[in-house]
Amino acid sequence: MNRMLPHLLLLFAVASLACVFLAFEGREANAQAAEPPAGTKAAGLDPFKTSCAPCHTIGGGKLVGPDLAGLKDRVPSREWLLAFLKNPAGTNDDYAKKVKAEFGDTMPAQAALGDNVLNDLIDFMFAGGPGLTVKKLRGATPEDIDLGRRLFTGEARLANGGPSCISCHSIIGLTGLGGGTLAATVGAKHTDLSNAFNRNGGEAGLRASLASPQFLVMKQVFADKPMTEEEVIALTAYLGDVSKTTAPPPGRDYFVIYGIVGAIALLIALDLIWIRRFRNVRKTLVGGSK
Amino acid sequence: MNVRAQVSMVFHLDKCIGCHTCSIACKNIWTDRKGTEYMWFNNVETKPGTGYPTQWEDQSKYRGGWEVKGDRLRLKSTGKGRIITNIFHNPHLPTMDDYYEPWTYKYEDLFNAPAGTDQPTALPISKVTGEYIDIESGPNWDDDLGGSNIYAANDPNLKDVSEEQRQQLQAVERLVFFYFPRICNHCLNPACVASCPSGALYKRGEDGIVLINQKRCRAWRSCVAACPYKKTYYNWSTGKSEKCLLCYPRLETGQAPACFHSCVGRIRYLGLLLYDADRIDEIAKLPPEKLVEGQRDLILDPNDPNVIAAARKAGMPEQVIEFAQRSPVYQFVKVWKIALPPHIEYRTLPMLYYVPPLLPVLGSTANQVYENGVDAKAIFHAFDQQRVPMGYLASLFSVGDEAKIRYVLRKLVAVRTFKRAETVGDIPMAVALEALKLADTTEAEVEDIYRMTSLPTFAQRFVIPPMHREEAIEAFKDPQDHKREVGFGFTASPKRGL
Ligand code: SF4
Ligand code: SF4
Repeated sequence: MNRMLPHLLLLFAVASLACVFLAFEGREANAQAAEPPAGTKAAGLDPFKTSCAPCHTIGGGKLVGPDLAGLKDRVPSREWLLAFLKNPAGTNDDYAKKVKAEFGDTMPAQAALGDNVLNDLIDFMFAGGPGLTVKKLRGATPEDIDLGRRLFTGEARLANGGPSCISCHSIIGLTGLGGGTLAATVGAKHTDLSNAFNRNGGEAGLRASLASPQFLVMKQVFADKPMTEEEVIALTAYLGDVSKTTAPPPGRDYFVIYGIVGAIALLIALDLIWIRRFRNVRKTLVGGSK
Repeated sequence: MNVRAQVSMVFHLDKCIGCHTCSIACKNIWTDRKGTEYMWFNNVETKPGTGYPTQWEDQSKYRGGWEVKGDRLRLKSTGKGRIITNIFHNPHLPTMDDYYEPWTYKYEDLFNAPAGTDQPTALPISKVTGEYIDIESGPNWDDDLGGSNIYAANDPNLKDVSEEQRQQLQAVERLVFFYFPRICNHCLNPACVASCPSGALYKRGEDGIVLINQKRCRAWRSCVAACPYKKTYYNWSTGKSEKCLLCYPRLETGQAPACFHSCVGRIRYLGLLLYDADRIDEIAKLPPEKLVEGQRDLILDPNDPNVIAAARKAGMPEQVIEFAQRSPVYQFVKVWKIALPPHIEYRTLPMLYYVPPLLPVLGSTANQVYENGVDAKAIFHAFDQQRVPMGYLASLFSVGDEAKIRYVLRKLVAVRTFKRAETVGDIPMAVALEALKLADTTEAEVEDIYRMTSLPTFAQRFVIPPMHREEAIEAFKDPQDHKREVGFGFTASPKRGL
């Protein structure tokens, strides 16, 4: 991991400019999609908001996943789509391969929603998402970057009581000890969020991911304690900023160094506290007079 | 007045021949089990020497005993607050090396070795690890001044002795040593009891014997650090601490403790002392120079009608009072004042007293002939010409006060002078009587001291009171039932855990 880090970061540094550019394009697209809806509330609206919206828009541009506008005309058939929703990983025909080639094989299986809900969803998507509004969040300011950093490190607490990002994630060079690595142990692919901004489809994608996380553990952790809009804006701004500015890695694992230095300091402190402890008598006595 | 009885002891150091019979008797009874091999409830040290464990008297290292802080006594090694940070690692414990690593020999090699050109050898193996070891020290490594340039030279009692005198101690004409047998002192103000976080140690109410409850001991080892005489030991096998129990099962059946019973030099005396328990705290806090007198003060006259009345009121059985009146220890400590407590500056108020030894005089080598004594014609020497510096004995027995040692030695010399004048007659009686006067003693007292030191019978040396265990047992059970159900001895062997 440590040896790979420099290479990865070099890659990030080169790629970030392009990605940020893309991200801002996404933002434009997002803004366009926020048109008032028409018609009555469709059955698929609510499930779409909770299960699909974090990664997809309908006509709002791509996020992590593709924009679903015009889906009806793109997919091979309604049956294909149903099967794909239930088991995306297991669907490997030509069309599925094409989608995966573009967006990666990251779509979570939705079989748990049940056939009824899935059919509602398909109707809803085929109908072009009637009643779906995309809330337009305000643009980020430089103050948001700072607030985002403080939210990330826990200097400022998340308003609804969610855990600070640093408990499980790290950002290269953020603090001396880096951040948590717990996310690795709970199975997430990414503990280091330096490049989360680009990975998650730029500002719009990351905002969506944060507002309603779909990741296995984060989903549960933030289910009852969602981040507020302002927090989402700030964190996204911060992560966006980090993805631009992260310097090449220092090339060493500070955690180990701090750990060793800390352990030595602790031992010295303990030795001083118990300086008058009994060591030995006979050995010194006999050794000293040899 | 809160009158209590204490089984107390006197060791007469002039009579100890350093045979270690006492140590062996004790070891065979109490400490030959696994985990106790290194313990010597009774040990005999050569003085000057560093003893067992090495330099135990140096409390700047071992931190045993009490100190006065403000107007309170506090333990040097631990306390209610200090125990919290130290409970899982007591920083003042002697290491095994400071006692010694117990060993045996691989005797079977003597029989099983294949035939060869050399004698088979039994190699030493550790009794702790079972591995071969290089023996580096033993419980009595400096016996009879062995290695004296290291051990004797570093005796903590020599710290107040001048450099010149120290040098002289090593010179052949001045070479001197005596034996110092030690057991638990069953102190009146025991540091071991006070230090125990589990309350496992206690001082028996009826006879003052200090014991460790093997069921309550939790291996914190606070007592090991707190006892300034290093007379509690940790058993690594059972996970409990153990100490001298003054052979209480023997005492309860009217027998002297094994080390007393077996003593070849007949140096040991045992009997009751009555004391005023209300004054222990006050006495233990006295300034160092007043401690010896203070402790003597604490001991009550068993013939005083007031004391007897108070003892009766405290519920002391009549027999106990009678035995206290016949106690040889009372005579030595309070009447003759020739027995002194060891290192009372540790403030535990030890109840084992020592009669300091009359050591050989300086030799002189006038005319190339070695003369025993500076003044060749004197039969009994002036003890200021003793080979061991007076300050040394004072450091051991009187917190550095040489006058107290002189008082005792003068009396001991007076006894000898008087008896010599009486039986041999080569000293004029007038000289002897003069010596008595100087020594603050009388013919009658000298006769008593002579009888008790030279001719005592078993029953005079050990005046063992009836222990009235049945009365103690009665508190929780019918003593007859107890005897039938439990019998004597251990009902469960001590082992780790609750
Ligand atoms: S000599 Fe040590 S073990 Fe014995 S009673 Fe005194 S303090 Fe306790
Ligand atoms: S048995 Fe008696 S004479 Fe022998 S060493 Fe022990 S105390 Fe001294």
